[in-house]
Amino acid sequence: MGEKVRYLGCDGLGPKEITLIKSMLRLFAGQTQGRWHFSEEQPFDALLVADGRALSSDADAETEHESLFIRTVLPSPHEDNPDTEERRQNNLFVLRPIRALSLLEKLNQIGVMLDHEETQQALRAQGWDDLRAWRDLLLEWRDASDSFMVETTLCKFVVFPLSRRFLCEKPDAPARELASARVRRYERIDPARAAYILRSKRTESLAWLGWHVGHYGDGELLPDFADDKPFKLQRWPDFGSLEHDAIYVPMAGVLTQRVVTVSELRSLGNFPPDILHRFLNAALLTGYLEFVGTRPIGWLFGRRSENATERLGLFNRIRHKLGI
Amino acid sequence: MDSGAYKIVFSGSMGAGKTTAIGVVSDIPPVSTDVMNTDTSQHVKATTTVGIDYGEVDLDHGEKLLLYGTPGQERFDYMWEILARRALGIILLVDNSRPDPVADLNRFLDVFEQFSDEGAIVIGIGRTETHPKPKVEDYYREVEKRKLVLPIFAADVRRKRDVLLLLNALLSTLEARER
Repeated sequence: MGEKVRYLGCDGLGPKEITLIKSMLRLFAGQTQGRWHFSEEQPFDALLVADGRALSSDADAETEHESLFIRTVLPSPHEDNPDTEERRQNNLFVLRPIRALSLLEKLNQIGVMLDHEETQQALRAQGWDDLRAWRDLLLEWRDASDSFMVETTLCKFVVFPLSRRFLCEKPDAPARELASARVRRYERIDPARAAYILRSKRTESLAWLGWHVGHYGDGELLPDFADDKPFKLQRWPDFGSLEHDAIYVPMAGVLTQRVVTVSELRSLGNFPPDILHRFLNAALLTGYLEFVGTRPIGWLFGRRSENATERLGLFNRIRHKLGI
Repeated sequence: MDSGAYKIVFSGSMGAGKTTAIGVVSDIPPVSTDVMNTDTSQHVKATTTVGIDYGEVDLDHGEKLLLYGTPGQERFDYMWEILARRALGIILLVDNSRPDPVADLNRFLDVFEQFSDEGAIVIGIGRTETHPKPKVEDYYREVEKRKLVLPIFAADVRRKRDVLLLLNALLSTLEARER
């Protein structure tokens, strides 16, 4: 789950309901898309609004089945008329009495929508280009349930985050071209249409796309990596199918066995920085690389044997002889 | 094992390409004990290895890298473990065209899993171009159930490049432990 801080406010609710919501938000810590806090004043990411016809002094009456609408900071055609049937159909409301699971579900739904909007804004600000645009999209799709159409300078992609697959108009285009195409725009697509496309065409995995976006990127390390932020590779990339630099293989060897930081990795392997960055970006965008909070004791060194130097010399001789 | 002789084992089901893989990198023509295949229930190829395959790579100064291929038939499975003892690593080849290749992998991992602490295990999935399912991702999921993190690559062992990739991953796994 993401760690963005989100603020929920209330309008027209009584003190008991506000206390209840505050306690629920504390209980939800770690379970929501973003970390939700209660806020008494603006700005809010979402605002729970009591139906205008009902509550004022008798706010705690909690009429059964009465709705609390949710306003968000998202641009929406419904904002001028918060209690329309259209909003109801979009499910941006919770019923009274407020149930924890119902509120949790709504906050997660809103969290995904907010993430989507922020990615769109970031992409617009960056001019829809480069590695970071793809990075924002690929990371957003990890938590998304909707399907998307992405228009790039090369072709259109349809992305199915739930099945971790995508297809594009030019499936035979070289990976480098596909992964280097600049994003022009993207939008949600109708679920029924997405399901039809998914059934009828051969799709490729999003991990494949993420890998090549990182591998063919500009070699600048993504901002997710800080010098002292430890991470580990949870899975070896399939180097039999993914285009790669030969030195990625020993990098993966280290990263699947150690929790390291970027600066430690630089010193451990003498890896050329731009190649190291491409590898790390690619691994991050496949979802195989994970940041970890704490490291086990003895994290820096492997299981060195007594004759480690001798063994490393042997492996070098084998490499030299085989030409790898 | 003689001093100065190091061993890598190629294992996998019948027809997975062990003999081919050894032949691709060996300095000598691989020594095989191929005979007419009478066990067509396992694989329809004409000949198969009933003993072991053997190849070698000269590392200079009298050192040798010995390449062993295990017999594919299950009735020889007692040999797999014996061959794996004191090996640098095992390259496990899976034939994706077999009826249940994931079960094949599990059968070999049942034998070799314990070896992952002392040596390296690398998995090559063959014939993925003609038989795309199961996907390599499915094998990763299977291996992850055992809490193992192993290199698993699509590999056509007729191509030297692919065999070298498997060996590169094996060496990289061993090197990372010693750094």
